[in-house]
Amino acid sequence: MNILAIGLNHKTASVEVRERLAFADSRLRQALSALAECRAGQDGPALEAAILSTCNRTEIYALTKDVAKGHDSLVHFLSERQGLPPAEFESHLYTHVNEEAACHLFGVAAGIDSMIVGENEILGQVRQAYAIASASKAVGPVLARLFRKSITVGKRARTETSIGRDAISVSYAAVELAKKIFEDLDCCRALVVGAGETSELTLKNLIQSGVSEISVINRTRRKAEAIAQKCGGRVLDFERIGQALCSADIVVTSTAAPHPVVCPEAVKKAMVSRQHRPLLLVDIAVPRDVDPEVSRIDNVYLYDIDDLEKVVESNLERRRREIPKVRAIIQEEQADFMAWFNALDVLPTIAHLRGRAEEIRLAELEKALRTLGPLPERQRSAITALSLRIVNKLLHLPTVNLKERANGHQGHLYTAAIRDLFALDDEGSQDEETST
Amino acid sequence: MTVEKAFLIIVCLAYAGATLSYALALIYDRARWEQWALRVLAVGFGLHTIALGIGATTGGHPPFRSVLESFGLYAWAVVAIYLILQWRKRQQVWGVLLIPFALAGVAASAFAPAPSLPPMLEGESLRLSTHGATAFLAYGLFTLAFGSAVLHLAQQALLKGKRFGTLYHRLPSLSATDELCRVLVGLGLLFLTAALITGSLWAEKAWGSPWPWDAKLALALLTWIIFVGYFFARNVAHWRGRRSSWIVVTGFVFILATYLSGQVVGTIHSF
Repeated sequence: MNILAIGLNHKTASVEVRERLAFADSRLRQALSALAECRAGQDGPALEAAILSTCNRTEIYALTKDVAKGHDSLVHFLSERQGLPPAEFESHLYTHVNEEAACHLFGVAAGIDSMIVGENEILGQVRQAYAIASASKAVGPVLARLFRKSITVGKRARTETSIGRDAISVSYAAVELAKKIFEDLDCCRALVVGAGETSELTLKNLIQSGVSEISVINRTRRKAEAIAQKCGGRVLDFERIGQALCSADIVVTSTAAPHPVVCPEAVKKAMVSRQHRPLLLVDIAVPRDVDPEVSRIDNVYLYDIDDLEKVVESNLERRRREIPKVRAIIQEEQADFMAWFNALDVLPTIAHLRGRAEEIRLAELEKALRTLGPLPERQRSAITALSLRIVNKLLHLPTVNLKERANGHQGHLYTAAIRDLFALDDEGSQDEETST
Repeated sequence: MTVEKAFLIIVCLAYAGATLSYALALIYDRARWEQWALRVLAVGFGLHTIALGIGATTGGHPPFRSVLESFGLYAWAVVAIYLILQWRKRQQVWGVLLIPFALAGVAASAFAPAPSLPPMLEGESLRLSTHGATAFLAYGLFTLAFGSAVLHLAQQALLKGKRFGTLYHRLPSLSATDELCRVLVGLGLLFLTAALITGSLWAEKAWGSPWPWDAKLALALLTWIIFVGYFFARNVAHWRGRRSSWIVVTGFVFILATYLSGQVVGTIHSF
């Protein structure tokens, strides 16, 4: 038995190819149900299967007897389901087997295979994929354990390393800067000038981090009131910007004005009346709302959109530096999983081998005893004991060694070799060989 | 090699190990090495306390009769206050700044020759001890305030210069360091005042006059004025953040001058 991971992601395929192979939820369930039926009938592409489909990747995880055959039938299955000839996407596919398949899934769940390293969304998507595959009865014990472990890895990576920490969006970067200046945002007052998706997102993040007093200013009073209502703030007149600066610690500006709305004189005056407590200005607008000269004023911290992008880039860099630590976690969990997986094959194989040996022993013993004619009990039992001892001694070392090797690197190959060499999977071939 | 000296050398090693650990933790951004550094530091501090205790009981005098010996006490005060701060609020990034002071202090006192000193007068020991204790606690507090001010200025420079590297992440927020500085300077000023007062009381007995002007006293008074000025600047002129941190840095230079004046210029305060 082998674990297969076949798929494509943002690194191997452009969005045009990815969108054609992506599964919408309903079609996903249908596809998995089809796979589940094959599973029940023991024929078809896979013994177990699960599909992970997001905007950045489509992957099938499956349990198959034969790697090559499994790969081909799964590619065929994908092509059939999505109405796309294999030639159009096969070159974008990657295939991972057993250990690498486990490593790959664990890496995906931990976020190190994502476009934005350490993103959280993918963990939820992996959970969702497992849930749907489970509900469609397409997964069995092996994939269930694999997916559950991958979710564990995802959680471990995010708690034990910093892969998922620090702001990676401009709106969070603003909050991060605020925390570096003010420590406790509970006592901070915010002022929002203008409107827009990013500034509203920033405001939302600030509120989540504890900011409670919010003032909103907009040329259009109606827009200001809409925002104020959503966040529980109050509205101020546009002309009162200068005054508003005096009683705000964090200011977010994003107006559509073609020239600066906040000038150095206004800020200087505000600082005096604020007793020079630090002031954070986040200027998301392009063209900028705040005169760059303002940043030269003591205790005033001004960041435009480029600066926020710098923060994000530096944080992404930090996340990338955490990747080796995450890989160490993946390695650990993968070894644990593979030990379990290899053991799965070993015990039935050994039982099968012993069973086959026992069949041969009993057949030959019966023939020999028939040839020898009636024998006293002592001689009869001596011959029986002889046959037993030969079989046991012959099988002892291979059994012990197989159990040991199966736990090591490429352990499944040993099991596969035994099955192949002793033709354990061919029923009925034994009778022909023993007829002499 | 006395037991005390042996202890001090081990303490040196411990502080050196802690310093290295803090520096590496900062460069390579590994919080775990900071935990390790703290443990090593705490162990070293325990040994240091024992060593000082041994020195005090066997020597019969408080541990600052000679200037090199006093460095050891200064180091002890710095580490003690640092550990208390860690206990109240874990903020280890300045370990890399302060522990070298402690290390230098202990090293100096560990390798100092045993001083030959005149025996002490009766009652002198207690008065000397309280004056010395308050002075060294003040030195320790102002050293940590200095550390705090440096952290503040560093973070401030990074934020203004928009350099968002590892250091920016590890340094505490501006509010935190500013507030901490304020608390430490306040406490330091308290102890400095106490030192001046106890010193004055003792000076009466030892030298006849409650305020024998010499370099050390002049510098001490100047330092006291600077730190009182710190609070004035903050509350009246609203000089918070960067400007008040620079006052602390200046004040610390004067603290060092006050501490070492006894050696540079021969005064009645010479050890």
